[in-house]
Amino acid sequence: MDIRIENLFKRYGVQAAVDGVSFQVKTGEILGFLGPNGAGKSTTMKMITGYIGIGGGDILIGDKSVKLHSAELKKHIGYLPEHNPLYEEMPVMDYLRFCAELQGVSPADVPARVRQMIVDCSLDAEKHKKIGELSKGYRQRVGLAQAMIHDPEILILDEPTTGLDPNQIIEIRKLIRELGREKTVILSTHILPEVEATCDRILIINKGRIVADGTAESLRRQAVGQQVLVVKIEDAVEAEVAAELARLRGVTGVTGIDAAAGSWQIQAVPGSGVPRELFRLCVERRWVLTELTPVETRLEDIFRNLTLN
Amino acid sequence: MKFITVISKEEDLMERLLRRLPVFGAGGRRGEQGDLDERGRPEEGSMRHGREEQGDLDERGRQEEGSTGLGRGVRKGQGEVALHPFWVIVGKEMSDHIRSWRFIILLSLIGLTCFGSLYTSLNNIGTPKAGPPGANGAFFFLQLFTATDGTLPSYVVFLNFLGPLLGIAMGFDAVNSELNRGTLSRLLAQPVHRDYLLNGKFVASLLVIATLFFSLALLMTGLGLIFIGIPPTAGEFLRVIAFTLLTVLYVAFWLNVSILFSVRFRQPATSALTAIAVWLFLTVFYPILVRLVAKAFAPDPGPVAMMDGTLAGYQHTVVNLLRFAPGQLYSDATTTLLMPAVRSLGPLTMEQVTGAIPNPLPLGESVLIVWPQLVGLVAATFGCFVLSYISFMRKEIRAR
Repeated sequence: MDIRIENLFKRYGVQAAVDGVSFQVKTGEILGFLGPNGAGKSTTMKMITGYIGIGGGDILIGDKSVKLHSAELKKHIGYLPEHNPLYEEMPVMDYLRFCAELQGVSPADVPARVRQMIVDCSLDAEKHKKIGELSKGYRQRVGLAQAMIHDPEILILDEPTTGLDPNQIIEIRKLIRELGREKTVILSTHILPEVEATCDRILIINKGRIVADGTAESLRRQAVGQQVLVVKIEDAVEAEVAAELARLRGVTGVTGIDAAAGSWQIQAVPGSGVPRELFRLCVERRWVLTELTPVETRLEDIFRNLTLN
Repeated sequence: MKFITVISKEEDLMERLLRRLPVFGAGGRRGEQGDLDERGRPEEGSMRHGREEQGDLDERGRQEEGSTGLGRGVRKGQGEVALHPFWVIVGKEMSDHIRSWRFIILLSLIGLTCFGSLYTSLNNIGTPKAGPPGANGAFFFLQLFTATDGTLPSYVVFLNFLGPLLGIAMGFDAVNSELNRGTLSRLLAQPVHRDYLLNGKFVASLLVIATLFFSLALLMTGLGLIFIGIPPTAGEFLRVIAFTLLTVLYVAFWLNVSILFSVRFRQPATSALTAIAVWLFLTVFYPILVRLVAKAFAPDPGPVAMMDGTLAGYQHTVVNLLRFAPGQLYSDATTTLLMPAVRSLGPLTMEQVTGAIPNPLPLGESVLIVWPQLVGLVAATFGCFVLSYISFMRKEIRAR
């Protein structure tokens, strides 16, 4: 099921939490939702799930508006909220059974679904404990199991990996990737490598507005604007190297990382052939080039760039 | 692990058995592996079953549901109708109540008073009573609930003040605790109507209360039967049932009061205290207040006042004022139901007494006498429920 969001608004008092957001997610796509705290990520997600009412604009899920078909659409959405509220006095199995029944899973399917979720979310060791006795990681898994118990076509996960240990994070990411093949997944997170590892597309939101939308690659291309190289040149005089490097065509800046040892960082115009020129220069001057590494712009930098300004 | 395998085997067996029954049609759980495989192409599955079970109503209903075109997730109602969300909530709330310490403590308290009063009434019932023959003697069995020698109050009196406590305890955190924990908005993000939650909570508590009081009443009847050796007559038994229904209604009123406060107040402690304050006021202070005020306006108790009906009218007014307290309504009604000799609530007039045969009333007549009390209790309960329903439906639930 596709999700189409058109000019979405939400106000909390005078403050606009979501201010005219529009985007689309297709079936089989995993969308990573990024943004600083208070950017409007959770609010947008809550509006998609029907957790809170929408202020303005519209959300269309499979061509049906949440304004008109809210109850029907809720059956197709699995949602893991940020704070993950749970009935603490209930045992895990009972809770999952309750959620499955509430979602209208037929009584014959309920035990199988509960078992499947316990396997998928590795809850086997704790399945008879009360939820209140579980650690944060296990609670998160229970929340995730609840979101998926009725096998929804849309999964909205608000920071799904918080509180999980590294092994579990990898497992959950794998699970999300698998689910994402046939479902529509929107997930928000603060862990940027996670977005790159899991998501097909990234949406960065700041102060209620979308500031970037695309794959990790395309975002990089947009944001970079310059090529960064790290080089190490040996058997050369420091001052001479600095001067010569700066003189190369296409180079916009040279900074020494450890100049005495021959390590330099070069900023250059992309596609100006600086690496070739550099190699020729070294041959000409009989310098020994021991390292030439293109530095990728990190997603963190892109994020900072887009959300701090 | 062995235990789990046994369970799943039993489940499979049950399913196979159920599938053979025509009522359940093509029920059946898919294998866990098949579950994943079939998810992508549910049409095949429904076609397959659809052909097999053309005549099955449930199956047809399911196909119609599927044909709405909006994806399908887990296929619903394969031969079995999914449980209605309302009853899912009722089931969950009931098991919550039964497991809670709060309920266990109150249950043991009420059980204890029940057996205590049964013991005193059994001791007391054995001694021959002085008084008009036939009046209470004909309904010997009902004395189990009302007889006392003064050391311990009777079961009826105990229920009059423990019942409200039970009702309050079961409802004071019904809505606000869920709101505070954030589970309320999570629950409402599921495909359930908002009023299912409140109605479900009310019905679940009511069912638990009804089960509790009916079991206690039947237990008392049974024990009484063993100890006094006289079986209750049909009339007596019906009176016990009517009394129990009345008790459930009375507790339901207090349950609704506390649910109302749980919708209005954010903190469970506030709503519990408010409900207890209302209960204390209505059961302890209100009668005192009415009597104090009434004393000031009392007419001169001379023969003139007696004759022209001023005194009777005054007493009527006082009793009616007292009846604003639900406890008074309850005790009026229980007294009449369990003591068939009672033929009027409030002062007796000369017209009522003239020509009356001093015999116990039949059940119908007793119910007729307490009809206003019953209607009053039902109205109060309903009023509270409507208030809490409206304020719950209009409440803004902002997700955390």
